[in-house]
Amino acid sequence: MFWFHYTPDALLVPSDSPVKTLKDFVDAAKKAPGATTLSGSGTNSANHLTQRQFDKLAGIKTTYVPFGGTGPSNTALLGKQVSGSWGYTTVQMQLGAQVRCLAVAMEQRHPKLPDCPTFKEQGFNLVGGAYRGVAVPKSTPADIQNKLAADLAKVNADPEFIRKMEEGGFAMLNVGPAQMAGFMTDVKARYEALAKEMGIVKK
Amino acid sequence: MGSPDFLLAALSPLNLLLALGGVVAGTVIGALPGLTATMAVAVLVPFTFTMAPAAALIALGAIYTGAIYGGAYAAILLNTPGTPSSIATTYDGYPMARKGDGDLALTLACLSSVVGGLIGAGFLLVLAPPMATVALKFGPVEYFWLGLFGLTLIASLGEGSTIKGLIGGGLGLLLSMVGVAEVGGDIRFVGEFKALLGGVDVVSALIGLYCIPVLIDLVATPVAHLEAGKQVASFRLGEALGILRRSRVNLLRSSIIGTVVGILPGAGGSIASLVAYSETKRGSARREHFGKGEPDGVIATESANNATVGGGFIPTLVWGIPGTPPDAIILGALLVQGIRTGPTLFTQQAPIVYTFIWGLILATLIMLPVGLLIGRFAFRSIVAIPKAVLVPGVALLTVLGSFAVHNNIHEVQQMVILGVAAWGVGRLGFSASPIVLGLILGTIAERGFVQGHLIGGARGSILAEFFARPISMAIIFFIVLGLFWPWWAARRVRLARQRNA
Repeated sequence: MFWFHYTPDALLVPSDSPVKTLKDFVDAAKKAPGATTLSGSGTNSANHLTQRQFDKLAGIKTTYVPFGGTGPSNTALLGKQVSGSWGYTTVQMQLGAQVRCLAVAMEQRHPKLPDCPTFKEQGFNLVGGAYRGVAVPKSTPADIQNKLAADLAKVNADPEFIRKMEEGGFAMLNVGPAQMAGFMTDVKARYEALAKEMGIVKK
Repeated sequence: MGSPDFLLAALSPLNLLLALGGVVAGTVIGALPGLTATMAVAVLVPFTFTMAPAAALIALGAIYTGAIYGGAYAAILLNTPGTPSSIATTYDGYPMARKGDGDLALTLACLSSVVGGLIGAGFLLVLAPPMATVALKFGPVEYFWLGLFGLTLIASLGEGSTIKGLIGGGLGLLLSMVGVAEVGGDIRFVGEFKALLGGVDVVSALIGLYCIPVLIDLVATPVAHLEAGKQVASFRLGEALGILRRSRVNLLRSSIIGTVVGILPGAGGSIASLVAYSETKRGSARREHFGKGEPDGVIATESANNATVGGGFIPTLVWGIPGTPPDAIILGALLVQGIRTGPTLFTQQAPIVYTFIWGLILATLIMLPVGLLIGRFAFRSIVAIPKAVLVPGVALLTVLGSFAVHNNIHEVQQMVILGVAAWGVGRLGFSASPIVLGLILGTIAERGFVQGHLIGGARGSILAEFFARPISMAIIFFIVLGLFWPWWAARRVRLARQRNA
């Protein structure tokens, strides 16, 4: 019914990695297909889907190593057990200078991460992340739905709230009931094809 | 590291109250023959779910350390170990009591437990943070080997039959695989039961495995009411302190043995106290007095078993691998709290960890007055609690506890089924600890194996990934040592006997 923010996907490497840019990353992966290991949270998760999606866009092959959550995945990244990690902007915020962000999956750069380029800038059409919102049962009357959505929109417009969320690495989103159908169609189309390829959804 | 801020945080009235309450509750449960320290932690764990993480940890640590100590009362006064950790305390504690030195033995046990507990906790405070830095170098492969190391300890350190221990470990491994695989997402052993998709919940499994068999046994066996033992009224504190000063080497050595055994995955107070007892006896000039009421015997076992508390928390907090059986439950409780143990715990959640460590030290100190007083004045009434009150009370706690994990009846069903099954296999000689180790370490080892396999494959050599990393090689060395040590030790004994014959 209302999506209020999302944590955009981000491709991260340890800060002392020889891979400095997304171009380095793609080149390295092309030179040795499959040798680049990327940690992420879980199998068939948002990180896993993004890894598949980017591999397809860039025409590369990387090895995805699923961990028991974003926490262990970050520990593996910090311990350099993997070449890099599919995480989120929030991870970059948390780990700070210990990691380097190669790209974020946003339309524009994140306001608090000005040095982190978007995938789009570098020629890859990748925008997405873990979306958060509120759902209500279908039977909920329209006026209650609208009131809830209006309240959520009000909170989401509070400058203090926006500041706090952005400092945590979140990206604000305002998808109310009116825009919902269009948004869902887009997202569905994007994930359905991938999910079918990965065998999560039966064809 | 041990910043005074964290000490102050641990000193908050609530934390002090929890430490006191935990020590009292633990001591009482530990003093009841049949109820173990693991059980004390297991039945009381749900009460901590709503607490703040540091407070919950302090409460659990206090219960744990109190229960380990409480076992000494029954060991000394009734010749029945209150917990398995105090089995060796009966060897000299009871003879002392028979000679009329029960009061002295109790005071010695209390003082030794406090010193042992403080030394174990001190190692936790000093050793764990640097180990956490090193632990960041531990990749999936190292976790796999660590898990395997813990599993091999079943063979070398297990109580009772080695073969049955290994079979129990295998059963635990099978249990650990139920549900959706964490890495890979395969669904295993679920059948028609959708409730099993999430796997076997560790906390409820532990409550079931450790508590239900004890409860069934309490009801099923018509043991006569325990003799309440002789009332002891004096403390003889000065005399006890004098003995301790003379035995300071023994005290220190036994505490270090306890800490080290605590650090080893899965091995806890019962093994530590037996090892410390035999080491002390071996090195003592008064060897022939052991077993006849030698104070050094009590000092060795009681300092060693309480030192395992601090030692056991080291691998629990640093790697998320439980050092002792009660740690396994505390680990589950931490997951419920949303605390992720592991190398980053000490940097990202430093306030929680250090407040807890200071809290554990405080709880150990509180044990001194509490232990002395309960030993004098409350022990008789504790042992006099009738079964008809005890069993239903504990049974209710097990149900509440397993329900509270996820507020879900499935966990209660799992708990009861596993508990009854554990009682069944227990009658065939299988103890719960290897099963629990398999259940917990299985997940850790499997996850590490699959991740290591993926990374090794990507790096070009799976074999090199598993066998050529320095830390892995060190752990493999210890695994081999652990596997062959019992065989080698037995051989040495046999050869020595042949030579003497």
